[in-house]
Amino acid sequence: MSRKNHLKLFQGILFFLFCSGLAIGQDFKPVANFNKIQAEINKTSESIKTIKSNFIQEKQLSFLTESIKSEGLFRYKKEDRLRWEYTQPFKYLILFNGNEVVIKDGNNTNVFDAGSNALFKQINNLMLGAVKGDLGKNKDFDFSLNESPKQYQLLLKPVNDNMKKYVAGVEIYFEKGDLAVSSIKIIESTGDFTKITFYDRKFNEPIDEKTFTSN
Amino acid sequence: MRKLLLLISWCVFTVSCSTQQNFSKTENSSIHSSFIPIFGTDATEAIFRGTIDVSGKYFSGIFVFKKLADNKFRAVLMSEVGMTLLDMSFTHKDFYVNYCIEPLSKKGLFKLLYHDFKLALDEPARQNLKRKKNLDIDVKTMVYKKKDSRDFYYFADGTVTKIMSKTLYNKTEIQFKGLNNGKADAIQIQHRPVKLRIELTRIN
Repeated sequence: MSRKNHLKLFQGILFFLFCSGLAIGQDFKPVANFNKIQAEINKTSESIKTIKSNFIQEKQLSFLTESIKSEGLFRYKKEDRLRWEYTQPFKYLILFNGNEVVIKDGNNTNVFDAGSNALFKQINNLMLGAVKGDLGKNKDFDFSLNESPKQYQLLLKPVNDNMKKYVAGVEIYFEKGDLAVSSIKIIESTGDFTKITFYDRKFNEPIDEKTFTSN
Repeated sequence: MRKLLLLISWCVFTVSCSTQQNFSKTENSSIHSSFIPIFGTDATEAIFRGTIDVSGKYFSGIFVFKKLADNKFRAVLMSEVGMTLLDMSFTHKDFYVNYCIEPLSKKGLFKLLYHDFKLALDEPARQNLKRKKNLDIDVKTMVYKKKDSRDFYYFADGTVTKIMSKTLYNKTEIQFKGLNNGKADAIQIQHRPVKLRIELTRIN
């Protein structure tokens, strides 16, 4: 596979990663004061300099009796550094550091330029937007905001044809207690979905720069 | 990309060219009722982490296999982050692509994966397996040949440990390793002379 096509595939994968969450059996209804809550979420996201968290990823395929589970570590440092590391049941590392994206799988390490084309850059922004909770600013989605007693739910529908090929919608959940992202759910056009739940979240603790290198 | 497609085309062409041989004595009473160690005797689903290496080009992901009925399967290839890349249903006769992302949507790739998945998952009827004593590796490993094909099944203790599929220009070898309760922990699919290798490690 050529580098160009590899990149196109990777773009899709990245989009998926960064728009991935949590389906919770709660009743959500549209918020009454949209602008006020969005402003509060954005203010919180701006105050977050670092995030340390663990995550559980569950992939639901309609024909399987159980979801496919994996888990790992999540590290984010403002503005654009991210470590997404699977530790169980396999080891797989994705690093974002500025415009550089590194994927490490065993002894194989691939480095990509996130700014090498417009779409890739867009996806990079999208992913960081999801982490920081300011995806509502992204013009590539129609979005709406709902709430339950404990959470806010940001629903995103892609308007961009390229993204529509990969996802039908994204649900991002914010805990009302801290207004930070607690989970993401990515729904595919087939109805299958991936949900990523963050737990043991810690904000604004120091994170060493080495965290964002593959060595 | 063109190189990859040429390699895939070569594989597809070569796996399509099979010949026939005469059978020797039939001895298949010792073969287990479920003898290919993908699902075991009690499951219809199997999940592997896997890599595909084509002439140095490397790809990794999660491979999901489901046995829907006798000789009817579904295979899904997805990225580690959960994105479905390819979703295929197949029987021993044909296949159908339920979903595929654009960069992978190549007929040659579909045919190649269909060939490999069918060979690895679809158990031939026991009456269609004929013992080839002259090919036995040792006293423990017995070789059977599938009727009307050049597919050879290597059995140890009633379970397949290796499948060899030969055509005029291509050889596909599937090895099942780490056998435990009728399930293999690892599977290797190797094409020759084309340098295409698929390695799967069971995660469920």
